[in-house]
Amino acid sequence: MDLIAVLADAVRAAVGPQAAVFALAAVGLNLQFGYAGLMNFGQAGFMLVGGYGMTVSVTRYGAPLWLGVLVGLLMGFLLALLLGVPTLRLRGDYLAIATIAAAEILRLLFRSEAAAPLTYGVFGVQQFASDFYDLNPFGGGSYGIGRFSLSGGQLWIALVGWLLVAAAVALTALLVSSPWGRVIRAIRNDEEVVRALGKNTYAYKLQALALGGLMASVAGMVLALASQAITPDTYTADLSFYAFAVLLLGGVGRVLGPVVGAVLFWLLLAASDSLLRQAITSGVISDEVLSTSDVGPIRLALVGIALILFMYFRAGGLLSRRTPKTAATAKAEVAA
Amino acid sequence: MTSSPSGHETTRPILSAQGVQRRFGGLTAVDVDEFAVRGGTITALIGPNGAGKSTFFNVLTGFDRADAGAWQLEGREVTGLPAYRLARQGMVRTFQLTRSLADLTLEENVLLAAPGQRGEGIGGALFGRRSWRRQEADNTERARELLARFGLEQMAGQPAGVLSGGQRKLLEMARALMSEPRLLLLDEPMAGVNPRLVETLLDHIRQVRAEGTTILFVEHDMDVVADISDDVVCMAFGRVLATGTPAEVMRDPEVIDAYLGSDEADDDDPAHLAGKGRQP
Ligand SMILES: Nc1ncnc2c1ncn2[C@@H]1O[C@H](COP(=O)(O)OP(=O)(O)OP(=O)(O)O)[C@@H](O)[C@H]1O
Ligand SMILES: [Mg+2]
Repeated sequence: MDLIAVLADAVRAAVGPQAAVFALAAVGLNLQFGYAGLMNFGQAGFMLVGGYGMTVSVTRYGAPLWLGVLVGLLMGFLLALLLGVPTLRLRGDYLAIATIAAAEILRLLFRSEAAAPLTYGVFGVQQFASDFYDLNPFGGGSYGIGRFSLSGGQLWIALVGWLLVAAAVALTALLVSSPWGRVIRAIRNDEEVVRALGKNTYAYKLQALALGGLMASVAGMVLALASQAITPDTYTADLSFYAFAVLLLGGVGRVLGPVVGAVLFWLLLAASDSLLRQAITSGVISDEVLSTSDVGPIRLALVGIALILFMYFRAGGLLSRRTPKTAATAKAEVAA
Repeated sequence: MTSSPSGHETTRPILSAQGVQRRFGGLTAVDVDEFAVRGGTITALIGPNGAGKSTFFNVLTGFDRADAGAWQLEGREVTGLPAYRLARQGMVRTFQLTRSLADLTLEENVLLAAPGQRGEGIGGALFGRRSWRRQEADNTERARELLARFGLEQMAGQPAGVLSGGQRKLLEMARALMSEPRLLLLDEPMAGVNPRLVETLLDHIRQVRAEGTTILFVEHDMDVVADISDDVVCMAFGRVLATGTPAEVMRDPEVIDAYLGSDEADDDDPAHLAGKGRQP
């Protein structure tokens, strides 16, 4: 078995564009759920409208890429209004139900025959990102050392993806350390108190939902650009749950939690994938027990186990500050 | 308060309400024909459990809707305004079951309440950093003063979740005061606070009145009510039974019958309680 190869696969995944996509979606979710306490189970829906907003504008209407990006952002914003306006005055559960349903409805709608003239139906559309890759300053060569290398195109999209993550993280950091951030953290604790102190909590929740939704829309665009392809079934409910998994692994309500979580998530996923495949092909695990086609689901199960272990030993994620100092010990300190 | 014989008409009411009703199914929890709080006073709202005091508070402050009625704050019509707008107009309330923001520190709890913060909008937060930073420094100073006033200054950096029940009441009061209310509605502020602290708390409430804030508070302890209130309103079954000075209300046969007589008279004779109200 070639452990260097396993490591290379894992590292490549952890710094690659996929990890950046997940980090972006989770940064948005962190603002919504980690800080404002909004239960958004439809991050995949925001990613879908972002990706399709961009792609359809470019391919169907011949719009330049920048305009496509703006359309994608606008779609994300409209989706946030559509979901938030009717539900955010109600109890939190309503948003959860609305988001999970809307994301699924959007996916089914986009893959339907009727919508195909606009959305290309089930098979989606490929090779629409030449505008983006024309900007690639790295050319076609390979970068890195030996196995730890990426092609120029991959490097370009990964760089753009991580720069966007950095921007989203910086925006979050500025916002949550401001009085605005104090209001949304307070809303997560007890919305009525915040209303009693003269804040329009409805408007704040809508803002947090929209901001997080916009970040997910950007994530959806990066995902489409990275694979040069978009199909509705990329944006299944799984994607929304992965965003939660990433956030929970990294640290809920911590600015860098989603970034750490995304890297960890892809390290785990790619390492277990590579390890299992090698074990099977080299005969360490007999293919009677496990065939290479089982690897996909099993590596996800391993991530699930990691998540459970985290919940057990480090609830709140790797960057959690709650675990070392529980409420009880803090109380004891005060008493002392 | 036309029925009051003691010259209550002289100051104009900061809060007045007419015909306020709130029904839950068949139960009429609040049915108040006339209600007024004189500006600059401490007014107590008393009445047996389930009289509708908290519901009345909720309706007035926009946390519950009224089925009928109208109310005015400092002469402005404010009927049915959402809670946050009523708070901005100067009517701020606390809750009977205390609600602290457990993950926020005590200082953040109090800072949250500061009015007119420039960093509370997204635009201001991002682009007016210099401006809100300065404001934040001033607010922090005031928040620390308020926490010190309630003996919570050593815990300013702790999350509010670690506080005891009584301490939470104090924090909630500090937080409400930070918002510079014109009218402060306190729902049982003394419940669960240790007797020695009650004295301090009463001093604070008097001081708040001296600073120009009107206070309307719900309280079951008749000694406290007699000690501190300028006016007393007694509710039972959703209605206002009596209004007046503490002495007047505690002498009122209807009040004795509905409230004092039923559960207080066993150990405290109402005449004695009323007598306390006359002490300076
Ligand atoms: N949301 C609600 N739904 C149904 N009934 C309610 C609701 N809120 C209050 N009530 C009823 O209205 C009545 C008045 O309740 P309220 O809480 O206002 O009493 P209170 O005077 O504050 O009593 P206490 O002194 O015990 O706090 C009670 O009979 C209560 O059961
Ligand atoms: Mg009550």
